[in-house]
Amino acid sequence: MYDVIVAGGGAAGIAAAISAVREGAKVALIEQSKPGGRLLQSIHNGFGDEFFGEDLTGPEFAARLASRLVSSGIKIIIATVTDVSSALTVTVRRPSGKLAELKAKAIVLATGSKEEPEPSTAPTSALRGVYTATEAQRLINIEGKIIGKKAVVYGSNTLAVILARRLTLEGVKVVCVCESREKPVALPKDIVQCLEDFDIPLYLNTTVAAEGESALRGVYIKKALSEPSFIACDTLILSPELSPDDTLTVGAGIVIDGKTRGAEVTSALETSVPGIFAAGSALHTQTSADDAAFEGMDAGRNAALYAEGKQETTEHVRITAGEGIHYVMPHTAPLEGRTKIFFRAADFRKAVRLDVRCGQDLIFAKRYPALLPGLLENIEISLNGLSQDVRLSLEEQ
Amino acid sequence: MKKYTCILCPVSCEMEAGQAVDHGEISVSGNACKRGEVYARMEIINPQRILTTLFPVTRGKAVPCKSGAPLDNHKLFDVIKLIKNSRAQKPVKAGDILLPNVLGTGVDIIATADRP
Repeated sequence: MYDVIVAGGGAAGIAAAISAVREGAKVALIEQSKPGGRLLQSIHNGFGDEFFGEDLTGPEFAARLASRLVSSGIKIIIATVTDVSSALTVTVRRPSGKLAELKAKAIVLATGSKEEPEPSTAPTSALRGVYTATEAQRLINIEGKIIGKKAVVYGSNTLAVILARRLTLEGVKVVCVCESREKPVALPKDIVQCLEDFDIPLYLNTTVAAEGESALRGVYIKKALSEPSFIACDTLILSPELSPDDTLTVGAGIVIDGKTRGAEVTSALETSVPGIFAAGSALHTQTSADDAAFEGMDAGRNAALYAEGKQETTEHVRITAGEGIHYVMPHTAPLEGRTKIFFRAADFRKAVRLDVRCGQDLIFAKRYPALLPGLLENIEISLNGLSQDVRLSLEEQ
Repeated sequence: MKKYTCILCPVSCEMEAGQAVDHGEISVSGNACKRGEVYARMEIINPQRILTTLFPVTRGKAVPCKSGAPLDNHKLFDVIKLIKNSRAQKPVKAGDILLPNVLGTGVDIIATADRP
């Protein structure tokens, strides 16, 4: 019997385990292979500024976090979590194939995200030379493989543009990055240092269709209102949006937010199933590993408090996303103290005002010169004495 | 005046910066913090980036590496070429200097993972 079981050993999971053990909990961390998760294959820098106060590469960030696991007393179990139940049991499959059931007083879900390819690209993924971004990154950075000579990248999230740069630095000609939407998904700083620095064109409002028999021969790219044009290439990287891996969440009967595709949580990061907490990319799309680690710390500490029976049960108010807001985090918060509310804008917006309303009453407002959907913003407000749902929305200035 | 996007944090400040024709003072606006100003000045004088890539290892998988400090952008591909023509010997530990003072830049190429 453990006090806290953490499922997943990426940035959020390791941080959760460390902070739970600091609270005096008996902790198990379950990870499929080596702790570090996606960080191990993210060999670029840009991690750690907030969490470690230093610019680090992914493997360095992972190693620094994992070093805190050494002699921490945290039991590291190499296995795959196959099921989590509302009775606070965790089923794992060992590398031998043997199933085992573990029991805990609290659980943290930190199993990261998955790629969900658009249905339109599904048939092409069987062609030789077509890779998902996560797979391509693993092949290049972990296996050291050279995956082609000439590539097209479809999708413009952070991973897509980072890969475009990686391929270029490894000698692969990246013809272009295509995005079906009007704006790139990645933050402007990543568009600059990954694409503009290397003169890689970014085509917006553009769809891509693969062409080939068993191996990729090229792609047809189609800009809105124009004829498709053919680009010969031997590599196509599909980089769809990453969304929380909801297998365990759904299996445990946890209420899911339709926007984030992760669990609905309280300000303590507790899901709708008492004793099950969530953090990192398993909860919502993360802007950085630093954010994921901070969230993991919170979830781990709160899980340990729950296991000790120290969590206070107070009345909660619901927080919802209104006009212009993609999602809010958390979904409920206690009516006392100050509450940090995270939110993402639905679209790129300039000169807007964030309104927080309780019923018709405006309880908080803040002006933003610009809001980017790729950036997780936060405000801190007091919800003392409120009786109705709290709603965040954006108003034109 | 030219537009620059700061790459130092997710906020991605949109800045305007420029230098008088007589190479006088550089003025920067739109930055939310001091780091942005320094970045914009460097973008005008001499753009630099941290380089990360894979360093070949004899009889083993290549090891991730980084430049210990930002390198001049125009030297990136020369440095990469040098890296790809080099071989590290196992064991490699994160933090090991794989190429000291690469191309006389004063910057070292450092391993960022272990290859035992």
